[in-house]
Amino acid sequence: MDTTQLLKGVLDAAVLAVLEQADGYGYDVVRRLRAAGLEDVGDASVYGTLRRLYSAGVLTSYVVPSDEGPHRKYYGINTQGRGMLTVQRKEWNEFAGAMTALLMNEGAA
Amino acid sequence: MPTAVLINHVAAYAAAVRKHLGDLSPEQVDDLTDGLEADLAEALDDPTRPITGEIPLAPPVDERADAGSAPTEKLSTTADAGRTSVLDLTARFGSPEAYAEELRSAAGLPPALPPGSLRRRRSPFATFRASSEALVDGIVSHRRWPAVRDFLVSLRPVWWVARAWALFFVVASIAGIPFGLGPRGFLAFLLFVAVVVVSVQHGRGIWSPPERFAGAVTVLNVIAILAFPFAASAVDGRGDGSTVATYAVEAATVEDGVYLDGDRVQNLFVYGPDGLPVDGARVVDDELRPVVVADPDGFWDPEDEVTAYWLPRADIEGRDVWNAFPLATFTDSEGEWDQDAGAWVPTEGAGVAPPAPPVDRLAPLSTAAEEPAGTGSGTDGVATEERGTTTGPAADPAAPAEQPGAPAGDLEGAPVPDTTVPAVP
Repeated sequence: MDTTQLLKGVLDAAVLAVLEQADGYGYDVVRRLRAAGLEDVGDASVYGTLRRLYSAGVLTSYVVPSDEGPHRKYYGINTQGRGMLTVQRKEWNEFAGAMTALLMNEGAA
Repeated sequence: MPTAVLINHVAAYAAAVRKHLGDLSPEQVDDLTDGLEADLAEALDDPTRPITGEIPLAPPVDERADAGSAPTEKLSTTADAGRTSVLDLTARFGSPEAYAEELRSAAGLPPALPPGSLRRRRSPFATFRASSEALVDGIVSHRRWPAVRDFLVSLRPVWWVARAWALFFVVASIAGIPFGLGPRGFLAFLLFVAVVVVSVQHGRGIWSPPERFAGAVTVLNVIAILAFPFAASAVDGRGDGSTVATYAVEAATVEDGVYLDGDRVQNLFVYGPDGLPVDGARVVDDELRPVVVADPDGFWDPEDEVTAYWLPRADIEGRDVWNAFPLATFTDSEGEWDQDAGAWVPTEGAGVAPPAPPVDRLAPLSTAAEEPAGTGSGTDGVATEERGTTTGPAADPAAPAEQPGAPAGDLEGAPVPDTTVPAVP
């Protein structure tokens, strides 16, 4: 199965979930998504998603100076973001439940 | 692996990505790729990075480096301890084009227009755009570019304030708000501060307009750039004004001569206490300075369209006397340039005589304090005498009456033994 295609639909929720745990910058979010098991996630997809979510007003952003190398742009989740994540959790649970039930039935049959 | 080399290669890859975002507004490109280099560099250095099929292209670096041209998107790094390998950035991140495409689609932006599409071909600026893109490519792929870019980026706050200043200038010009180097007045100042805050906050990426207004931001930026020279010259113009004013004051104070009501006096006529003209009267001021109306350059008479020159009188020792009035004048057609004297002189034979007085006579002064009968102020030819009210002439006579006729017969000796003349010559 092409997990890249699957990821596209859920990347928003995944990024929001990661940022709900702790604020993070671009590659930091990529690394945490991969550590969580989403190994196929594309760097650029995550960066683009962060920008889009920020433009949509569900993320906050701030710059943290770095002693070594360039400054880091951190993203954090805000109230609207938490609301969006709650909705997406619910939708995912329904979707995953339906898919799981469907696939299990197929396997059982 | 030298960090500088890594950064340069990463910067080249990032520049290539930006190039494929070239159809977006600079603000959007900035927004999408802000921190891209840092993320790329960190991804390459991440020891837990996934195996994405990057191939050690040249285990011993020297062999491949000598073998052919080094692709710009490859970099050398110590992927594993003690072993040097060349990594292909495109193997790790994909082609810059694909990376840019992924970035923009994830950000919810429309895909890039294919080169040579209808919209592009139609653009009247296509040629200009292509050549400027080539120029930009040449600049951003230069190895010094990252350093220059960082310097320019550090100047961005200056632009944010300058942009606010220029935009405020536009608004102030339209609304008629007084505007100097900065705003004048409290409300104008508040407005100016508000514009600066919005501009800076937007520049820092903290306040962004909705996506569909991104074009408006670009328009405002362009307006700011276009208005900037006008705003600057408007401030500069005020400086010019003060310079001109200073010059005018200086010119007025250094000009020599006698002026009445702003007009230069061309000649003086002296009337004695008997009301008759005095020929050859010499006029000095209270410091014994001769009162001179003559200008060596002559004066231009716009009515007759001639230039007139003054002819001095001479004292008994042959010296020119410029303060004996009235002075004879002659026009340029009646005179000639005397090279030796360095002045205009009347041609020989031209009868140059002092002009006739404006009126033959004035009312004689009264020796008593009584109001002289028949003093028609309308007949007065000398403006200074007219200045007084009706009580003026009555008060005046005492002093001038002490020296009747003195100037008239005074051409003989230089120092006049007169009590009214200061002892110091």
